[in-house]
Amino acid sequence: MPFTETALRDEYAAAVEQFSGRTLDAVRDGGGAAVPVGTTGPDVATDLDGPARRPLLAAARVLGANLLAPQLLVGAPPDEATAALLAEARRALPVPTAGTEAGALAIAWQDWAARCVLAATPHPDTGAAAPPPPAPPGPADLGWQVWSVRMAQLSVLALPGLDGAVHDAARAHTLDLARGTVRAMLRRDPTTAVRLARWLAWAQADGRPVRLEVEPVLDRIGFVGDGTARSGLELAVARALLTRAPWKGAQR
Amino acid sequence: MLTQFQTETASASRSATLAEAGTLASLMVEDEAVVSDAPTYLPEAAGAVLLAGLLLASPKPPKEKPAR
Repeated sequence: MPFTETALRDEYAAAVEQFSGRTLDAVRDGGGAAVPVGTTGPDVATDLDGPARRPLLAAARVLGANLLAPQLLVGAPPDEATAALLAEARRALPVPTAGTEAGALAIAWQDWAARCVLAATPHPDTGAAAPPPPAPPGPADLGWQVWSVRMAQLSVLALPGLDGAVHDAARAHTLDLARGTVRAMLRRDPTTAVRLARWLAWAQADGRPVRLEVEPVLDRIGFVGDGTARSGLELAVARALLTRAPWKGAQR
Repeated sequence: MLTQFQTETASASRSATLAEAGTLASLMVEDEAVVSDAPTYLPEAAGAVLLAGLLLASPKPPKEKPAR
């Protein structure tokens, strides 16, 4: 058991949870900023340097494009302070290497999403013109069970303004997404379920038949979910995708 | 050994350490929860075996206590 990494993981997970809560509040407010401009103090820690700032950057790295979800969901311009923090996190913490090929591909797509949302801000990445990662294998190669779990790991991509090979797969396999959602609910795994329900909400907003009523699933997850702010953010984004559906014009 | 309980905290350096990269990867790519899978229908299971198992597992009917 890797005892040496436990404290670091707990520290970063707590930062992710705190930042998720701020982003969740911003989504509920209808487009507010996850990082309030000019706010200081240890609670926000935007003005800290050194080790105290590191967990904040790590949280921004983990949440990625989700940080700008409050604005993307209402079609507002990205919040500049949040975008600056995300850009700094991407500079300070390069793309982490995963232990498996599938994990590395998932991280590459999450990084692509962060790069895309930053492209519309004053903090574009230097590699913004880099090609997207290769398309992940589909349900025909993996089976719908494994594929749906991989899609749950890519739920951050289910945002307005993002479009790529992963989104094409989601459009083409809504039935497998629905199966994966139901399977996760039966397994009592609300974290995976809410991430897949977010994809279903995205597909429904995109005008695809999703073969499953998403609203009751979201209501159920709201009751039996794990109660974390990170899952709450997924739930809020899914609800926003359903209720604020008339977003179109996604750019590849 | 006490050394195995050494803890690692956030680094002050600009570049990510190996432990940091591993932690970030595990937070960015979370696998599904390790719980028992949904019940699977097994049509190859013999009905007689299933019936016998259910009969054996079913509770015995209550017995009437002898009147004193």
